[in-house]
Amino acid sequence: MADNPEKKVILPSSGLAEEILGAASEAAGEIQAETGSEAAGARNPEQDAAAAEEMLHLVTFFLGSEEYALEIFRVQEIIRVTGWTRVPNAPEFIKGVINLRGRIIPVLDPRLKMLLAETALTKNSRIVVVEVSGKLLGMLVDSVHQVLKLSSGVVEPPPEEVAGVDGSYIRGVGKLDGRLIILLDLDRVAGKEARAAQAAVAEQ
Amino acid sequence: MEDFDVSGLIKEYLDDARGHLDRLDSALLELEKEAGRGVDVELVSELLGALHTLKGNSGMMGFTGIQQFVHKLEGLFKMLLEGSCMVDDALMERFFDAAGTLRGALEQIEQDPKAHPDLAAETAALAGPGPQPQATNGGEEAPGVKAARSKADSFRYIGEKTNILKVDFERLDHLLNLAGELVIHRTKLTQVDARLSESGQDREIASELSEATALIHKSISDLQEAIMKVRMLPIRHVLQRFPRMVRDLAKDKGKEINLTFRGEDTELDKTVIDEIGEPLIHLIRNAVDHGIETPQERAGKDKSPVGEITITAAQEGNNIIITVSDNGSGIDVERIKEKAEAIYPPEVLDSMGRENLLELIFEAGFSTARQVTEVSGRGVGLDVVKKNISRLGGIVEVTSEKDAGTTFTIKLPLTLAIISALMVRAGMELFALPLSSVIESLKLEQGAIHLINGREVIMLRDRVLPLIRLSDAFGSGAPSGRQYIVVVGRAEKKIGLIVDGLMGRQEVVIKALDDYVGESKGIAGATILGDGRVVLILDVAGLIDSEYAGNSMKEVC
Repeated sequence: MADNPEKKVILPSSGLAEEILGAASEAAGEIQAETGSEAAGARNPEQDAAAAEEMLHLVTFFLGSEEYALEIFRVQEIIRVTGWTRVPNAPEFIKGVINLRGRIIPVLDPRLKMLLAETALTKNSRIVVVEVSGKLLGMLVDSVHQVLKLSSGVVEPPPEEVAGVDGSYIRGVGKLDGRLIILLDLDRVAGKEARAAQAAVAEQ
Repeated sequence: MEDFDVSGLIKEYLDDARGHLDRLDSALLELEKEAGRGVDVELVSELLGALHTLKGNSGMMGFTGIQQFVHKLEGLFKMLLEGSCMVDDALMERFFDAAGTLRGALEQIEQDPKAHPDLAAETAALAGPGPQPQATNGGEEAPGVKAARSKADSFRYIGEKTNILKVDFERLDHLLNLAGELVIHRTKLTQVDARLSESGQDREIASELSEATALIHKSISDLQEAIMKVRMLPIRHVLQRFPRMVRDLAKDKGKEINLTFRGEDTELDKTVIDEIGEPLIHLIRNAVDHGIETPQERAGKDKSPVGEITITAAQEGNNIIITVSDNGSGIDVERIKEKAEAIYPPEVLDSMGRENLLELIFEAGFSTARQVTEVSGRGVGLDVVKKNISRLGGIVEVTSEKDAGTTFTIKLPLTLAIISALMVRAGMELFALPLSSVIESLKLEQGAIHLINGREVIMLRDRVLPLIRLSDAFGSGAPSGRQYIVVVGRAEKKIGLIVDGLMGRQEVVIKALDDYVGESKGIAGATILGDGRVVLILDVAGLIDSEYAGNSMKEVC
């Protein structure tokens, strides 16, 4: 496929997240433009259009040693962790609430939701702000890695379990240069209804 | 009773009615355009909704002529929906005429609010099998409003201006949020200003910055206040629904009741207006049903046969006080006691004073009504009223005198958007306590805490005060150093919150916590401090409930 892994965008490890994402999206846009012009010479336009449709535009991040990804259009911004306010009696996977420019949004730890081991905060920890059913939600991740494009052709359907994560939280697994990128099903990971499922798993 | 004063509402009625007529006009045009393609069910249904509101409002205002006319008009549209008549030119003409007739009637009212346009002839014409122009123009005894208007007049309404703007509440909420952000940025600016002043450099620039900061400070406060004002509505908006209700209920019961309002222009935040209606309905229904006696009973007691229900509203600081009083039979404390015998041991009841016994009517499952009626007395009601009001951060109290009447007093914050709060520290975390529920605060002396049934209490002025350690309740870290007790609640339901620090009072903007974080018992919401930190606002009523839920009545008294 037209995807060129050599031209992936490496995210800076620090800096204002909006800028990171902005810069990354711009750079990613350039990749698309280049691959687009390459393709235009080699293929007929119909094929090209079909290929473009199947291109996934992703933000990848680490939880522990595994690399996960979300589609970029679901991500509003990425912010540094400056602490949060705990909410007593909230579900365990809710770390607390933060102030996002005057809005109070919950911060979710996807590790706790997916029953993975919790890791300590580091200077690379970030909160990925996503939109789920019209509401903003922060997802705590160990570090944000890169913005890349992945052809849906290299994404395999979710197995029952990947790296200890229940398959129902996963949309698919992408393979890229021997790397394994786990595409999260954001609505499932962030969904309230998954709480019951989690309880059921815990009981087992 | 038939003629309650609605003159103050005429302007709003007219404005609203014209809105419905505008909708009628545009829907009619749409209907005419689509005549060939059958009836647009959605369009007509929406139209019926608008007409229904217009009919209801007209009835409430006493314009029965208009009410009946609109009723007939509704009938025609319903026939359209049912398919029992077809859209043709004659019918459309009748519809447009009807809209014109209504506009004419509104105009009459505007010129003379006392006018009660009589649309009997027009109504009859509307209901007739076909267009009957004779009926509308002919009869001399009923000149009708249509005849009074020239054709040129009938389009004058297009040029009319309106001074009232309907704005989606969410937009106002967004405005308030933006103003809240400004407050946060202002704090940062103030910090920079302070640092520059301290550094002693560039004194001239520093003082200029100070000045600018002070101005911004003032502008932002003004802005916030202005936005809050926009959200305020007179309580009349809620009260205006009641005369009709009281009239109907009274008629049902064969009672004569005079309902009076005082202070109906007192303004409240929309958030409170939205919530206050339900509790008031309960209280007023109670007054009609159980409070006011029948004329015969009243005569026997040497009272005027017409019962009085008075609703007053007044602002008191940051609160609004609403009272609902009747001069009816009053609450029979002995009957409460009788009923309570099933629930509480006699020694508890004997130790309760008159006030405490009266308070029992707010307990769930308490109703002293001899008869279960359709209106009230189903054993639910006052407990719900109390719950709703405390959820709003308010309190409700009752006083009653046998055969003299009953008064319910509701105290509510003026707004649910901004509250005065006492900031307290528990462990490492800050919490905001609504000042309206704080009674006093004191230092926790060594050895003052006693244990009763494994619960911590202190003796405060010879009363036992149950304690809650905030840092335990919310797991916010170990207590450190000197501790304080903040007494919260009211009357006999008080608790002491043990906190690790009192951080002063502050006005805070309440924001709801996303339901995503779950129902947090004891948490009413959150707010953002000047430095951007998020602080949780405690729900005192919830805390007290959870404390008292496990306790017997004995400890309460």
